[in-house]
Amino acid sequence: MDESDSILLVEDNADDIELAMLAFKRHGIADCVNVALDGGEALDFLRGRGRFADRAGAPNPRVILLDIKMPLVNGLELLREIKADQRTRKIPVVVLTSSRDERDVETAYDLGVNGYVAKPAGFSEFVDLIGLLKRYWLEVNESPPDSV
Amino acid sequence: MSPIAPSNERLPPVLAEFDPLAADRPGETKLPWRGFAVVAATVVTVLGAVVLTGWIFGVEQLTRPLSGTSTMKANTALALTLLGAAILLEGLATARSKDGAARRASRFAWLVPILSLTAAAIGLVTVFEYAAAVDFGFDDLIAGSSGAGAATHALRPALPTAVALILLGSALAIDRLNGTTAMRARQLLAFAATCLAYFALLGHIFQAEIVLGAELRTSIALVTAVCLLLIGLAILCTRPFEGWMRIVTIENVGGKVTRRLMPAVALGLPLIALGRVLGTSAGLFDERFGAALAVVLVTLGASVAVARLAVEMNRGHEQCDLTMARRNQTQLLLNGLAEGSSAMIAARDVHGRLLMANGAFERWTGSPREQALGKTLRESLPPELVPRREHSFNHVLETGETVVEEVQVRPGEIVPTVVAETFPVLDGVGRIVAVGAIAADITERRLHEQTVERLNKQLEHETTRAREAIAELEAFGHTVSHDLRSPLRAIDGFSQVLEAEYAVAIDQRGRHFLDRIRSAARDMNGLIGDLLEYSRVGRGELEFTHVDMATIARAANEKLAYEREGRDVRVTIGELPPAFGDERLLGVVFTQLLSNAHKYTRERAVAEITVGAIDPAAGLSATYFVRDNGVGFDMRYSEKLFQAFEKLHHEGTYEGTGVGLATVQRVLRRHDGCIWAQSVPGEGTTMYFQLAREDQPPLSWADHLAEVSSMRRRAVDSDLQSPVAQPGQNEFAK
Repeated sequence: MDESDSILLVEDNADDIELAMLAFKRHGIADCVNVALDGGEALDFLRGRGRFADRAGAPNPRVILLDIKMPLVNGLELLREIKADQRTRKIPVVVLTSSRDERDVETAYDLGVNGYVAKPAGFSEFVDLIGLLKRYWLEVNESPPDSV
Repeated sequence: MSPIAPSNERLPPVLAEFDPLAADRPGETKLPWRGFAVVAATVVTVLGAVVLTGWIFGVEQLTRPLSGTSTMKANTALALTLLGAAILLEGLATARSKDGAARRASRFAWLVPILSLTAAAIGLVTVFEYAAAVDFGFDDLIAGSSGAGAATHALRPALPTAVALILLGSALAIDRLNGTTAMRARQLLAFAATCLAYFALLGHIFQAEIVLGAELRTSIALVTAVCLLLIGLAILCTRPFEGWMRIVTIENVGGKVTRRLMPAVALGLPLIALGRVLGTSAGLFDERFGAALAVVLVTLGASVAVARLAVEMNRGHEQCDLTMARRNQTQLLLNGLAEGSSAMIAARDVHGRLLMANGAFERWTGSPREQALGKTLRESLPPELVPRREHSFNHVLETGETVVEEVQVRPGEIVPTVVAETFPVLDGVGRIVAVGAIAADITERRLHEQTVERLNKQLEHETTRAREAIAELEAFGHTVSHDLRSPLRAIDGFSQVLEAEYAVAIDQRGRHFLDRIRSAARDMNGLIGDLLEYSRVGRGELEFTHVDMATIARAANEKLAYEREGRDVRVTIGELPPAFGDERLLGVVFTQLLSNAHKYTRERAVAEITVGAIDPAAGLSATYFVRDNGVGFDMRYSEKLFQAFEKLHHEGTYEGTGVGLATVQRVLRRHDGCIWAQSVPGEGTTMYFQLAREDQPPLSWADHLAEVSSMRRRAVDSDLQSPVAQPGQNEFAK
């Protein structure tokens, strides 16, 4: 089992990626994370195409952390794609965003999201949050059978 | 469902010719004319039958009902019985109530002319016997030769009786013919017979002997004379309201006079004459004096009658004059109304012929009234109007309903437009005798409506645009605030990592700068939060409920517990009347005001914060306040208090974004309420606010937009009025 594919982080902002990686690192799971820079890349990763052609046939990640505000295919559109595809619809998806907009929350749940978490403003709080997510999704939660 | 359900089907209205004299036609008297006819006919029938019985069975007593007078002859008795029966039968057959007896009688109505013609025939044969000086033995048919009289023709009816029978029999037979002329002829014949009988009756009274010859019997028996008189009057009274009889029976002055004078003359003159005869024969006065006396009495009677007639006629005239005067007045008023009105008014008979039209009609149709009167719709209206008007006209005639419609005088053109009402004109018994129409020019109104409609559309369009613009602006602000948070997180994150992982490489001064960076990031985060709150309270619909203000004030105060750490803050929450508003937004108001109160009392050893209401009994129109003993502010700058990003304190003294009070004001505005402040530098500040009353409708989204575009001002109770609240000085007190 390749632990490096446990988490797929979909995030376009370089700062946010780096801070997220710092947080993952503090919890010792930086190696478990794959990053897709936009919705298209995330789909490539899940379907084993393009940059991720070598992943063809690989098991699904145990959780997808998804930002909403992204260029090209945004987070909600990507969510719709994931949940519409037979192969990927069982993967737990958690929206991790700075938007607390009620409409976004509602749309996300309508599309079948498994969790919705707002990014806290302070870095220390963010590190704590990542710890919580790791504990729940990688340790407590029982993943679907075809996951990593 | 069929369009016309049988149960709903209306009977078509009854149409009638317009008859201007109908209202003036006098009615009929309610006197019992027919009743008299029936009684008279019954008496004669019974009397005739009795006499007839007497002749048949040879009971002489019965043949002369008045002893000492001459006998009623057998043939006369038969004829009188027939005539009486005919009158009774006719009366029953023509009775108004069609009960069983009347129906049976009407089945035998054909007997009437047979009976009456038989009576006439008896008279005719008798006259012929006299004229030809023959005897057919006709007179003895009933009585037989064993009769009482042995003299020649002793059993033959008198000649005048025979003539009277011919007249009466023919008169009754005419009944089967219709028409005024026939009726007049019948009444003329009956009247002639009546006169004859009257003459005979008077002869008996005066005991006059008229002997024209031994062969000619001229004297009618007294009973016969009475019977003939009764039959004659009965025939006249059977059809009281037709022919000449109208003169007597009509309910007007003429009828009244006739009904009074005729009997007076018929009874009065014989009485005078009788008096003269009796007086003379008794030797009370001589012939000449008797004549003079009679003339005087007749003159007196005639004078009284003429005077009565004059009075009656004068009264009639006065009545008539009064009626005419009233009618004239009504006519004058109606004319004035019709002519004075700018609406066109017209009436047509049921054939569509114009009966009346006012001046406006003339102006609209462009043709003089005199020419249009009597003309049909087609002939008197502009051709383009004819189809519409004909349709309405026919609808009124067919249904009896009023039609109200807008008519564009020139089809397809708004100018001019009239609203036309077409309605049935009914006579006293509910028949449609005419169709009225009133049409008012509403062109002006139509044009106004068009303008209003256009302006409304424009307004609607502009409102939509304004709404879109505001929504866009709100969304923009929201997005910007969000996007600002992302780099902020990076600043905070990286500076924290720098501090934690490179602590050794950074000296004291470097750490100070790092602190400043992180503090600035925190401030900016607060600012963004406030901006988001400001944006949020302006969006969406409000949820109005009854709100327990004391509870939400306490909840807001508890959220601020962190502000009181290490300080001596005494918060008093007094009696707060409940309000009607959006609970979440009112919570924001208290949170913000209490947060400020905490903030500006930071330098006080003992901070005192009071939440209360000035007039707790005022209920929904209460004024709430939050008072502190903080630093206060100079009232000169109060105008800036509620403007976003305006602060009255130096940066660094009191942290804050300047958005808080603007948010509070926004919430209160959306509640149609207001906020103002009173402050003394160094002593403290009191913030007052009021909410809309319950009976005022809460602000809808559209109202909110209107409010955003133009700030309305509302006066504040004078005793609470601070300089801040004076109109023109501040922007929030509305």
